[in-house]
This record gives sequence, C-alpha cells and structure tokens, in this order.
Amino acid sequence: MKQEPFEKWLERVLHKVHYRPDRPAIARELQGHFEDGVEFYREEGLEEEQCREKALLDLGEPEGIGKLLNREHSPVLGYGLMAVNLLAALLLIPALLALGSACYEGISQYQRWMPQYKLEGVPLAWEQELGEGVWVDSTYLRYTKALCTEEGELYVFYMKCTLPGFIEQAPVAQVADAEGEVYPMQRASGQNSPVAFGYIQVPEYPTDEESFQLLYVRSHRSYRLEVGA
Amino acid sequence: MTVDKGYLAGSASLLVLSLLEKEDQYGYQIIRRLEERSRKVFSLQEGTLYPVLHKLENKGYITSYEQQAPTGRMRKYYRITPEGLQQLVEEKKRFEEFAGAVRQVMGGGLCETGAF
Repeated sequence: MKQEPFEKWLERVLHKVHYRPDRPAIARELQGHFEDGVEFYREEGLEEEQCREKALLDLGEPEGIGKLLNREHSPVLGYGLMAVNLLAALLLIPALLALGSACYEGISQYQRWMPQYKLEGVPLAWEQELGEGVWVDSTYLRYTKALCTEEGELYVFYMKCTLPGFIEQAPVAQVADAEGEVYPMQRASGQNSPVAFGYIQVPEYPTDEESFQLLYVRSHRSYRLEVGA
Repeated sequence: MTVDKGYLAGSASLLVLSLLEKEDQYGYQIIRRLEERSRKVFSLQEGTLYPVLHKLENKGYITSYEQQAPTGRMRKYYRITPEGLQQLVEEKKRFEEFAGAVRQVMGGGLCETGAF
C-alpha cells in the first residue's frame, strides 16, 4: 500500500528516536501539528493537495528533528526508569501479600475476643456495658462488657495492657457473686503481648444474678472489682 | 528578513516561555504566534519546536495536558509552571545584558564614528 508523504516523513523522524515507548506520543503530536497546518492552508483557500504539500514542507527536515527529539527522550533514562518501576512492583507484591495476610490474621484474632463475634446469635439473659478498669501490679485491665447467656454462661470481656518490660500473664481473677460466693471459671486471652484482649468465662452462673465481683490476689494484695446491675 | 539560525536556536526557550506566559497554547498555535508577533522575522522549521517544548517540559518549566479540539481529536496544550516563570525572568535578564552589550559595541563602531 502506497505510503502518504506525511507518513514517510514521520517514519524518518521516529527512526531517529531510539526510546520506542515514547514514539506513539511523539507521532500523535506531530500528526496533530500537520493536520493543523493543512487546516490553516485550507482556510487560505488552497487546494487540498497544495495544503498537504505546504504543511509538510513547513514541518522541516525529518532526520534533524528526529535527532533533536532523541536528545529529549533518552533511552538510558527511559529504560532505566522502567526497570526501577518493575523492580519496585516485584518487591511490592510480596510485601502487600504479607501485609494482607497479617491484617487478616489480626482481624481473625480480634474477632475471637470480641463479644459481638464471640456470641453472635446466642440468646442472652442479660448484658451490660462496662467501663471499669483496674491496675493490678504492672497490668491495667479494662473491662468492656459482661454477658450472661440463657444457659447460665457468664462472660466478662476485657482488654489488658501491660507496661513495657513487664510482659507476663494477666493476673487471674476469681468471679464471685454479690454475697462473695466464688464460681469456677476459665480465662482465655490473646497472645501474651503488651496489649491483648480476652474474656473470663464462668460456665454456670445464676442468670438472675446481674451483679458479680472480680477478685484478684496477687503479690499478697487483694483487688476487688464490683460490677452492679 | 531572514535571521541566522544560530540566533534563533539560542533564543528558542526565551521565545516559547514568553509566549506561554500569556496563555496556554498548543504547538501549531505557538508557531503562528511567533510568526505574527515577530512580523515573520522568526519563521522556523515547525517540527523543531517540539524538541524545544519537550526539553522545557523535562526541565519542569512547562507542563502539558490534552484537550479536545473542535475537530474532535485530542490536542496537547502547554502551560508555563512557576519554575518556568522564574526561568523566564532569568532568561530575559540574560538577553537584555547580551543585547545591551551588542548595542554598546555597535555604538562605538567605525561606521558610526567615521574614524577612517
């Protein structure tokens, strides 16, 4: 197929631009300029063929223009930047996967200790929002919620915060009712870290008893947290 | 009147930045404005404008964006940046110094004084 004069001219320009990825943008710009030139001469009243000839002549010598353009579209810089971007992308993908995995693990862990996830769908006899906190030695325990299921299981949810340098097991509380009767209980909490979530579980607690005490005996001292209805 | 290509090549950045100082323009528009405002003294090979524009863009003195032309195709416009405005001030200063020096030399020339 016979090539148009402008297309031949453009090919000679682009042949001198060694960084190939920039060639399409350069071609579009020069094509646009040529078309503007043709339009200019059309408005001057010239014949179509003359418009195209004059517009092409105005553009100038293609090899010289190509060499000047090549100076501004360095293949060293261009391919170098591409290589850096590719390397960054290759390093970023595993980093993002690891971050995603850690976030998922963190969320899954979080959900194990949060009341709304732990007892989702379980019928409750009562529940209380707590905002009670207590310092036991180097650990701060903040109780967030207490629930009792219709089956008589008492859960007391907490967040534990241990001072740096004192990472240790959270102090174990005993659960007693308002009269001081102690009930067997279990404690479950997240990883042994400065901040962790957990809950105390009493398998059989009277469902009509909305008050309880948390008793701590540690380092020969007693702590008591009373939670009333 | 034709101007030595050397003069034009050395002043290309100054001319382009001066035109873009007024308003954003596309390549063909810059060429036509250059011709009009210089009363056809500056009439360059039009394709040579683009290496100048790309050089100025690489240096951060101008920036580009695309806008649809009345014909429907996309047209690339250029806009001067704050750094470009600063550069323009510098280039104008340098040009004035150069032009002043040339005038000084020409002013003390043989034709003027009639010494011989």
